[in-house]
Formats: sequence, C-alpha cells, structure tokens
Amino acid sequence: MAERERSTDRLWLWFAVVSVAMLVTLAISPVKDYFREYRRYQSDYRALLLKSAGTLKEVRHAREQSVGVRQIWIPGFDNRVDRCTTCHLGVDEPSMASAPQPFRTHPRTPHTPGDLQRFGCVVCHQGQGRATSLDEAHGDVPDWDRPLLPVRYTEAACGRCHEGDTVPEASMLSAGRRLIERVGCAGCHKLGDSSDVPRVGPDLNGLSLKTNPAWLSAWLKSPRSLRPATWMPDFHLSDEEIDGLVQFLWAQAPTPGQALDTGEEPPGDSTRGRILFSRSRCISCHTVEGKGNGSAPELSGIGSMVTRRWLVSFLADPHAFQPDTRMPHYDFSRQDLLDLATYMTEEFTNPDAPEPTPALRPAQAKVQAGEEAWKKYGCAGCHRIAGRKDAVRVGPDLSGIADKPVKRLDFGVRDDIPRRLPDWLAAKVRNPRSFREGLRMPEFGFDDRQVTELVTALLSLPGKPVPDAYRVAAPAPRYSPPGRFGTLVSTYRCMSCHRIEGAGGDISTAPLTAEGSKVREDWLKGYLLSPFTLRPILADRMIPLKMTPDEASFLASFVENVYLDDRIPGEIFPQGPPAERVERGRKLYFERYGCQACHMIGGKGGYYGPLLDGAGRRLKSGWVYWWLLGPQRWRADVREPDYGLSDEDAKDLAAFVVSIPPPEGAATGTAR
Amino acid sequence: MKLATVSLGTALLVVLSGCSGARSGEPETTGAAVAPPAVDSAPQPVLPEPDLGYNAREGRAVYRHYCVTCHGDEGHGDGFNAYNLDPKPRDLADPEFQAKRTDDDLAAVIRTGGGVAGLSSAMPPWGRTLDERQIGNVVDYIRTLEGAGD
Repeated sequence: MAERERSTDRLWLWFAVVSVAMLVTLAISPVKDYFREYRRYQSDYRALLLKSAGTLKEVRHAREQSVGVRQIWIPGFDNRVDRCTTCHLGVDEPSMASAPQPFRTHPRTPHTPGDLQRFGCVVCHQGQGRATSLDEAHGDVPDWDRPLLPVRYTEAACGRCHEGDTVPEASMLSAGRRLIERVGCAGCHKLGDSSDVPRVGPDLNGLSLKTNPAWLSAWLKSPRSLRPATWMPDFHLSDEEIDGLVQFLWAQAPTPGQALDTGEEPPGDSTRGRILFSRSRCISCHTVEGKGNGSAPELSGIGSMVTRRWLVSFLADPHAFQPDTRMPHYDFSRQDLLDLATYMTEEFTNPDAPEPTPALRPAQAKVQAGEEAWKKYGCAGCHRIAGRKDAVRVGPDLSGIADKPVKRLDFGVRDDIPRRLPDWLAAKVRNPRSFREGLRMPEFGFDDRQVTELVTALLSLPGKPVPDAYRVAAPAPRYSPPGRFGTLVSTYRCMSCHRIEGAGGDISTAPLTAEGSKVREDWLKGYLLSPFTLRPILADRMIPLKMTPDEASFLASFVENVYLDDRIPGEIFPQGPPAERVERGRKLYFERYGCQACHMIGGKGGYYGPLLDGAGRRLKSGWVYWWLLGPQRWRADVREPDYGLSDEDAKDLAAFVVSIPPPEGAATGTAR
Repeated sequence: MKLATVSLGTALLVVLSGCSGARSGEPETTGAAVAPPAVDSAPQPVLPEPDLGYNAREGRAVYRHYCVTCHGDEGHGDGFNAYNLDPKPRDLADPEFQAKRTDDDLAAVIRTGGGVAGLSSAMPPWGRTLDERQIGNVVDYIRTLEGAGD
C-alpha cells in the first residue's frame, strides 16, 4: 500500500517538473522576442521624439508610436519586402536630420522620402530586406551575396533603372559613365547590351611617316611620362614586347590617303604660325600645357613626336589620315600649313622625349612577336589598323558585374582588401596587375575620385534587368544631316561640338536644332566665314574653318529654312522696335534685372553671357522674346535663369536688346 | 514510470534546445561589442571616406554650373565675372557671414534673387530655374565652404 502511494507521489512529482519545464519552454519564444534589438531601437526612438517634442501634438505623436516590425511591400518589384524602417524610423522625419543612426533622416533625393513606398530601401542600398537583426539586415552574414553598399557608391543604384550617360542628380554615376566612355573600357570589356567598340585611340596605319622608333618605344614604355594627361594606359610591357610592337607597327603600311607631300619643304615662318595657331582656336578642343578644352590630345610635346612633313600633310587633310577624327578640315593655304607646322614643331617640344632615331627595317621574327603582343593585350580594342580584322574585347564580360557573388571574384594575392565587390572593383581599376602574375589589364593612373566614379558606374550594371515599370530608357540620339548640308557638316565636323536633334558633341553651348529661328541668315553667313568672339569667358570658342563663301551661304540658307522651332515667333517688331518699348526695356535691363552683371555692351558689363553689341543684327526679335520667357526651354542646362518675366517685360527687353547698336568700326560679320 | 521518463526527457531536450537557441542568438547582441578588435585587424576599404555627403555633392555640381563664375571656386566672391560687379559678390566662405545667415535666409536669396532682399540685383533669382531640392543642396554645399582656403 505504502509502496503504491510512494509511486503515485513520484508520478506527481514528475508531472510537476514536466509541467514547469513545458511552461519554461513555451516562454522562451516570447521572451526572446521581447529582447529583440529592434524593440530597443524603437523605444530609443520614442524617447528621442518625446525629448524633441515641442507641442502637445508632437508628444501625442511620440506616444502613439507602436512597437513592432514595420515593412514596405513592393509587389511590382520582384515582390520585395523591406523591413529596414523597423529600426531606421526617422528616414522620412525631417526633424531627425542630425539624429544618430539608425534614426537619421534620409538625404533629399529625387525619390526620397516621396517614393519610399515605391522603391523601399534594398533596391538602392542592398542588404537583406526581410531580416530584422542588424547583422542579417546589413547582409554581413555568410551566404548573403549583396551586403549593404557603401554609401559612397549608392548612386550606382540610380543607374540600375536610369540608362544614359547623364543621370540627373547623380553626378558621381554620370561622371563614371562618361569616364568609361572616355577611356574606352568597352574596347576590352562588354558592358551591357551595346556591341559598339568605341575605339578611343587613333588609327595606327603609317606610323613610320609620322614619328620615329625611339619616340614610339618610349611611349609604349610609359605613356604618361611623355604626356601626363593621356588616357593611353601603361601596359607594363617588357623590352622584348616593346621592340616587337614597334617593329610590328612600323610594318603597317600607310593607307592610300596618307600620302606625304614629297615636294620641296621650304622653311615656314614661326611667328606667323603662332598667330595662326591662336587664331585657329586649336585649344577649343586641344590643350597646350593643360590649358584648353581637353577633348583632343595635348599638343605641348608634339614637336618631339611627329615630323614637320607629316604635320603639314595631316593639317592639310586630317580626314585622310584619321577617317573617324573629330577634327574638322580647315582650308589652310600651303603657306599657312608650313608656318603652322614650323611653329608647332619648334615650339611644342618635350624635353623628356628621346632623341629621334632613323626609320627602321622591320625584321620578320620581331614583327611576328609584336603581332602576338598586339593580340595579347587587345590593342585593337582602342586602335584600328586598316586591313586587319582583329578580335576585340580581350577582357572579361562585365555585364551584370553589380550582382556578381563575392565567392566568384578572384582576389589572388590581395589579402589586404575587404572581401567585398566594391573594394575588389576599386582595387582592380586602380592597380589591376596587383592581383597575381600574368594579368593583362593596363594601369590608367586613376585618382581616388575617378576610382569612385568608375566603381559607381560599374556597380550600376545589374545582372537582371529591373522591371519595365521602373526602367528609365535613354536611347542614344542618332541624327545625321541630309544631302550636301550633311557632307559639309561632316567636312567641317560641326557635330564634334554642336548638337543637332540631340546628337553630336557637347563642347558648344549652342545647339543647332532651332538655329534658324534664332539667328539671321546674313549674320550666320558672315559668322561662318569669319567667326568672332561672342562669349569671351569660354576657352572653347567657335573656330574659323576657312570655308568658301558659297559653302557659307549654302549652310546659312539651309539652317534658316530647316532648323526651325514652331514655338518660336519670327519677327515681333516688323516695323522695328518701338521707341517707348526700347526705353522701358533699357530701364528693366539696367535697373530692375541687372542684366549688365552678365552681359557686355560697349565694353562694359559682365562677360558671363554673350556680348550684346549689335545683337539685333544677329538675333531675331521673336527669339529674344521667347528666350527671355524661359531660357531652359532652349537647352535644359542654360545658365541664364528664368526670371519669370511678364509678357510685357519680355517684349520691352527684347525691343531694347535688338536695338543695341554694333560697336563702332567693328566688323559685324555681315560685311562679306 | 517509463512514460514519465520519456516525457521528462523530451521536455529536457526542448529546454536544452531552447537554451542553445537562445545562446546561438546571443552573439547577435554581443557581436557588436566583440567585433571592433576584429575590424581593427581586418582589411581596410580601398578608398578613404568621401569628403562630402550626397546633398552637398549634388549642391557642388549645381554650384559649379551656375554660381562659380561670380562666387568663385571656394566661394570667396572672386569668380571670373566678379570684377565686373559692383557691389562684389558675397564672400560665402566668411565665417561671420555663415554664422549670421540661417539656411532659410540663404535659400530665400537664391530663390528670389538679391533685388528682393534689398541686395544687389546682379544676384538673379533662381527659384524658377532650380527646384527646391537643388536649392537645398546648394545651401548644404555653401555650408561646407566655411573657412575654405584659409
């Protein structure tokens, strides 16, 4: 009996222990949840709100903060769920601008805070949106391939949706994309869908006519020591490779167009050459000792590089030597050419360049070795040799690099950098050969800022396209002017500087798409024959092309009849500007709007905008009026602000502007 | 008896696994305290921290496009076009000026121009050319110019 009672007691005891254990077990989960870090952040945030609350409403707002996981659900974007705002509670709260993280207000961007519900957080910043603990959310855990993107590269995310070189309010990304284009990354790497190979270097036929072997080998050895600003990278070539490449390049015959003038070569007049050089506005594109536009090569060492005979022939017809050059064809006379070439070869010498050596006779074995090096380093990605069909893009495909898992990156011997994609890319573009022996990518000498820009642009190449609803396409504008006009535009390479219909270069501030609505035909003809300075502040001014009067008349008349904008009225003062409007306009110009701060009349005033002497001979009154009512309609980045003028004020100002007389005794361009 | 042992065993297992779960969760909170020494010896990022945040950087882009010609590279009012102007453009880097003007003051003059604020009409109104975000960014950038070049 007693035995039985004891046994029952023991059973009761077991039952009690098991029950308690059960209770404890059930309590673990809620207790764990109670101590989750986000709760701490949420209570800290509430305290912060209470501390800064000034009104009863704000206190109530702080008290009403509920505790719990917050999330943004975006079904239209890969069904994303971002819980970042569980801790980052102040992202859209302006009063948290200087609060400590994770509460700080998000910087003002085109999409934040307005589009928070449309984009969430992870699409720009990466990390693990569904996670609710710090390490997991920031992606600092094994097997999460997209950890938080360092803030300096965040603009990369803009580029996942926004195509095109210029993305508004993403200056870092835009600069990176332009740099990629400039240095010709796509010559070696595929970058997205485009199959265009940019070929940013010159064609290399007929080098034997142009330079000497010693210069070429010094150049290949270290391009930047001869021309510090060049984008030709340093391939760290061995002496054998350099010797081979020089002989290989020497063996590439000139094209039929690259014929040197074989006649007598009388000396030129260097002084006259200097005047011609400055009058021809060569630095509108080239630089001399760093001064100038910089879209074309530095000229200060050119005298040590090229022969005078080559320079004379090249300047006579640049398109025969470099069919794709952006350099226009100038109608220089024979004497002009001799004088210019004399000035340039005598003046622009480089003390670091080697003494010229005589032409060499390429040896077959060396030429072959050189050809191997040519292929190995993918030289054809930047340089064309007529008659050769070289494979291009010797580097790996970088499309989708932004989503490449870290595990698939080759860090080689670089133990000193974090195991992260952005750092890998930064180390790659800065010092590509440092990863291991036998790599071929050359060194470009990028500085910190350029590295940041490039990495930002590379991180904008997604592995998988964003949903169509999020894509902002920017199709490259393609426009080629028709007929004889097109031929002349090509001869004079107008579109190297000017834009027409969105296509063309960006050196000039004056797009030509509606030029016919803006300027008078007789003025344009005169200006084409003998351009003068309209905007003294610019180094890159219109160049004198030395075209014939017939060509100038044809171009002016074509522009006048074709490049028109229907929104722009023609002449608004057919009888000339009324005197009372001119007077009112003069007052507005000088007193109300301070136009003289930027524009010059009679040598007085600022030189930010164009000179206005004789503006009525140049500009149509309807255009001036239309322009004044919103200059940014002409071109989005025009610097003259929109003053919000009334229609009357705009008419009065236009009347004054077109009545400004030309300077006394000055050539107005209409004389011819 | 047997039943009791089994149920106790199960309960213990659950408790233990619960504990181990709690333990494995522990580094989440203590990780922050443990991590720093490890970070010290860990490889450093390839690039140093950027000098400007996003808003000031975008402000710099706007400043360099529209403002620099009069106000100068470092805001000293010594841009190319400054010599034509009377009065001279404001020295934006002057600490005294920076202290005297609030962000709203600066934004207001940028928006409506000097004339409206009783200053020189040579400072044009930018409110219809730049949007509010761009104006805010320029103000942020102007704040980074304080004492520039001194």
